[in-house]
Formats: sequence, structure tokens, C-alpha cells
Amino acid sequence: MKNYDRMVDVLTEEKERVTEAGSNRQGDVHLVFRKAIGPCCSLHLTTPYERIFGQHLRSIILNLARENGLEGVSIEAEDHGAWDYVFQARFEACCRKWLQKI
Amino acid sequence: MRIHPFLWRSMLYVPGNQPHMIQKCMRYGADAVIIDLEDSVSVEEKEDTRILVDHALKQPMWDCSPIKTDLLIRINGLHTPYWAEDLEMAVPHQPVAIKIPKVESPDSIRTLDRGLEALEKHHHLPLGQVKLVLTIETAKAFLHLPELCACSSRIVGLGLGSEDLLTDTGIQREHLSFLRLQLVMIARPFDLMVLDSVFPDYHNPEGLRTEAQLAHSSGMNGKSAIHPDQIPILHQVFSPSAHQIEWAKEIVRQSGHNKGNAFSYKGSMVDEPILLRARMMLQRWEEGYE
Repeated sequence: MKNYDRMVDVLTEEKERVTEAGSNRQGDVHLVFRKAIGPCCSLHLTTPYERIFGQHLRSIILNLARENGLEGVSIEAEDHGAWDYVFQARFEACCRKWLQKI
Repeated sequence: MRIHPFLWRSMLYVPGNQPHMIQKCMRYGADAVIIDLEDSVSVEEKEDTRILVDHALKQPMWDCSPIKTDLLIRINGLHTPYWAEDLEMAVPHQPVAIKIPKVESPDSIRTLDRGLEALEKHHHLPLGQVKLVLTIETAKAFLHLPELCACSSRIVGLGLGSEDLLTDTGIQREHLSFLRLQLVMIARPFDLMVLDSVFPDYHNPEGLRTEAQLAHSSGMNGKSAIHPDQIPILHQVFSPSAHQIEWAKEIVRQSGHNKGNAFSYKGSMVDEPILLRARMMLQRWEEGYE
């Protein structure tokens, strides 16, 4: 019974594993990493500049995920007009927290 | 008294956690910008902000200032667990100076000095390149002022942290001039600049002008700003007027005819200290005032 409880705890922890960085301030991006099912990384990006920069911003995030060896993570990015370096900085911050939780 | 190597009439604070402010801060023509990792950043955001500032300082936007703008970084206080990592992040970007808040003990400054030296060596920077500005915000710091001024050759200035100081001492705002004078009197023998605190009400230009004039007449060299609109007012107050420049030029010119002796100019006696003041004003004006 004890083992079963521990297993439930671990699964719940895993399911609730969430880290975030950034903010909804002007010029910033709010990033949230969640545990996903399977080894792939999924990305959901919202940006007011979808038509102009949407593809570019997606490629920044997915490249960073690949470079950092992230697997099984669902990434939510809410862009508020962030420059590329802000995406990089917020990704690095979120990623550090994520890796600390493993 | 000597001419200081830096001209910091206006020092614009920029919160390190606000990317849109960081991106714009060099456009406003401040003499210096201070990227803040301390009071404007909550404890929860300290680490993320350090990463953000590190990335921001690698961008090319730092060259877009219309005048020469010096970069300073305000790290967290030496009593906190954050300052060493702040310093590690800051030094490779070669800020002109590190601003240290809530300074109290000379020993802690010596520790930081050693840390800075190690980081300069590690990054192959000239030793002593990164300067220090100490912010005096407590009565205890006032008590140790001469010792603090002398504890590191990197120190180029003292900043008055008036809000914290008023809270710490219970002194009322109308007596701030006394503290300004005291700070100037102790800093001058060490050839340090003295810089006034921010004026928080940025919708009140006349209030800012009055406070800046008080600081200027107390012998201070400049004042911090929290809004770009405050910069032109500070430059006006802390720069000599056209009339003063004309006066200085005339004094220097006439001193040449009088071969170093005291002389009379427009009914006033001009002797060595007045001549020195005129020369300093001209030198500073030629070096950097608009």
C-alpha cells in the first residue's frame, strides 16, 4: 500500500511538473513548460505579430529546446512584443528551473 | 578638489526585469544608466532578471546613445545571497562601475573588491577597471564614512539613498540638505563624486528642479533619475550656464594679464581659489557639457 501511495505521489508530481519564466509586461514573453506525454516537445505560441514573426519565434523556441535536449515538454509562450534575446533569456531561465526539478 | 573622470549629472535607473525599458534606455541622452538588479526586482525574479540582463548586455543596442552614456549596474546588497552572482554576471560586460546599495561595513567592500579583482583577472580585463559607487542609506554607514571612502581605490563616488536613510533615522525630508552637506564634506578629501538620490514624483518637474538645485548648491555632482523626462532638467541644473562660462573665460583670460596675483573683476576680488574654480568649470565644460 505504501509503495502504491508513493507511486501515485510520483505520478502526480510528474503530471504537475510546471515551470515558468517571464511576464506579461510589454516587451516580455511568458513561458510555461509542462510535462507532456511522449518524448516530443510541443509548442503553443501566441503573439500579436503572428503574421510577421510567428514562424521566426517558433523556430527560436524549438531550436533552443533541441539545443538544450528538452524532451517530453509542452511549451506555452505568450509573446508581448519580446525581442529575440528576451526569448533566449526567458527560455534559459525556464529551462534551468525545469532541469532542477528532474 | 579635482575634476572627476566621469560626468554623471543624470543617472537613469532602469529596472533589470523590464525588457522594453532596457531596450530604450540608451536613447534618452542620460550621462549614465544604472541597470537595477536590486530594489525594482522582487526576490522571486532575481535569478531570471540576472539571466535577462546578461542576454540584454550582449546586444548591440548599447551603442545607440546620442551622447557618451556610461553603464552602471546596481547589484544586490552585500548582506544578501545574490550579490556574488550579480557580480559574476556583470563584470564580463565591463560596466564603468558597480553601484552597491545599503553599504555599511568597509570589510564587506574589501571582500567585494577582491572578488572583482579575481573576475577581472579571469576575464583578462585591466585590474581596477570596474569602479565602485557606494550608496549611503543608513546611519551606520554615515558613522563609517571616512573608512568606507578609503577602503578601495575603485571607489569613485558616493550616492545618497535618501528614502532608506529617512526611514532608518526618522529624519524628516526638509533636513536632507544637512545630510547632503555632510556627505560632500566627507567625500571631498577623498576626491569622490557625490550623487543625489532619485526624485520619485516624476510628474512634478518643478519639484525635481528645486530638489536638484538644493543638491547642486550642496556641492553634489549629479542626481539619479527614474524617468527620461527628468534628464534635461538635471542637465540644466548640474551644468554651468552660458553666463557662468563667459565669467570663467574672462577670469582665466584676465589672470594671464595679472601673472598669478589677485585682481579685481567687476568689483569683486579674484584670487587663487576663484581662479581654480573658473578653470575647473571650463575644463569640465570643454570635456563634456552640452
